[in-house]
Amino acid sequence: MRTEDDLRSAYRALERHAPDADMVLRAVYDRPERAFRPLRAPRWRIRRVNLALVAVAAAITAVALVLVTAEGPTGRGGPVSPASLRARLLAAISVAGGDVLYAGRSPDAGGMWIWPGCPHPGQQVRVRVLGLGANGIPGKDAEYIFTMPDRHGAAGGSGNPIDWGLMTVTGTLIVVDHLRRTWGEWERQNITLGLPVNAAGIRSEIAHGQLRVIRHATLRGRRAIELAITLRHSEPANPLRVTTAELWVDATTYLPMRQLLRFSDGKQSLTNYAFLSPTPAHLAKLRPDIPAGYKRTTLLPDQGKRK
Amino acid sequence: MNFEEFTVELLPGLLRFTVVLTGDRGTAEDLAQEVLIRAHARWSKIGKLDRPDRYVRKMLLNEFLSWRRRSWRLIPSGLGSDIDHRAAPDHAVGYAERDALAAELARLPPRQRAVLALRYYEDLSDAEIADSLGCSPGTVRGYASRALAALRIEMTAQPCQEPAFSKEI
Repeated sequence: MRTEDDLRSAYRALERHAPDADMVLRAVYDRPERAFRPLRAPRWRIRRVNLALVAVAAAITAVALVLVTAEGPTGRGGPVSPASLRARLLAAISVAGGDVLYAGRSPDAGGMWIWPGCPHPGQQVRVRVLGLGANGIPGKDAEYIFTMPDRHGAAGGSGNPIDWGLMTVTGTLIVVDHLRRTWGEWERQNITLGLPVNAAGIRSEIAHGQLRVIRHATLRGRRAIELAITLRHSEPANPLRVTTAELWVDATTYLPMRQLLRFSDGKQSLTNYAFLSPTPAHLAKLRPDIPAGYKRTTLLPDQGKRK
Repeated sequence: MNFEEFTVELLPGLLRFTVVLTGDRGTAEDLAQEVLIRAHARWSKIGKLDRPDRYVRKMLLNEFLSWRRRSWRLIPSGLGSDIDHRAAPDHAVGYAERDALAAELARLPPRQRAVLALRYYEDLSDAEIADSLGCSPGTVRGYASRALAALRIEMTAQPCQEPAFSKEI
């Protein structure tokens, strides 16, 4: 049986995750003249309002909702404010933080599955990395299971602003080597992971960047909003850094669908995202397939080649 | 008190309360942004109050309780899942227990969560909580009792209990 002190202790642990005041205030000071108000449940005071007024308000609201649905997020007679858009995007990512996040060019071409998509320090994280050769045959297929560290390195050497940076973790490593037709499972310390993307990184990018709606588009059969994010924290000293990022978000859910990064050397990188509810089918994607006949090995794979 | 003084002196405490209330940093950030945008617009009135932080805290509570976007998906995942656990065992038992409790808190109805946060984090009396939530102290005690039962928390004492009304017979 727990005690009230356990509850107080849980609250003290929670308070350490308080939002950064500067981050919150940025939305206040950046706000447009007409601040965004989200849809909200009717408050109890509404019950006191004259029924006739309620009926009229409901009719107006219904018409307004139809118009918003038909015209999309910017269809309110003007562009949606950056602060509003940012709040919606951040909220969407927060809500979907427990989903399985896929990141890659397409699931058929391999990529990465991460669960939970937005891990908190102390949470167990499962990451599967599947690399396919040009012929579509898997090369190495690996799963990492570890506890999200409290702190991890800064952005990776690639200059990508949304990656996890290099993390050193302790956990379980499962690798299927399709070239050698072997597989193994190890409990390892000091596993160095260089994961290219994560939802927390995207979230941070949105929070720190400058958003601008470029256009509406259709992506993977869904209505999307294409955004340009001009990064404020580029490091001129870094020879390879991200200069601009474009992000496509679902016009209905506001979840990221695709990101295009442009680097200072002129190259660019395209990543598609999918937030998958943690159903058994989607969780199964986190586990490498071990084909029949593969031999179990104790020979530790070369970590340097796995990424 | 002007808005800038408020943000320096009182906002950090309110942000800590917000994350305790929501149980999630991202949601807390969104909630605080929504409320502060409105508070800033009305600061000429709010700033004249004796305790503007209490007013803003009430705004946060109202906003939290009125948000439609509630979902089981807000519950932190990775806890109590039915998948196999092949990871190395987590020796931080205390940390895991706090994590589990936080996850269970997130499953409580919003009003119950608000009552617990006000009582056990802000150390308010039931009367003060009732005033903040616009209900009676008895209702507050009902919410708290149900929430504590759901969390399997044993009450050691009746905190912040108001004196019972005496009735002459």
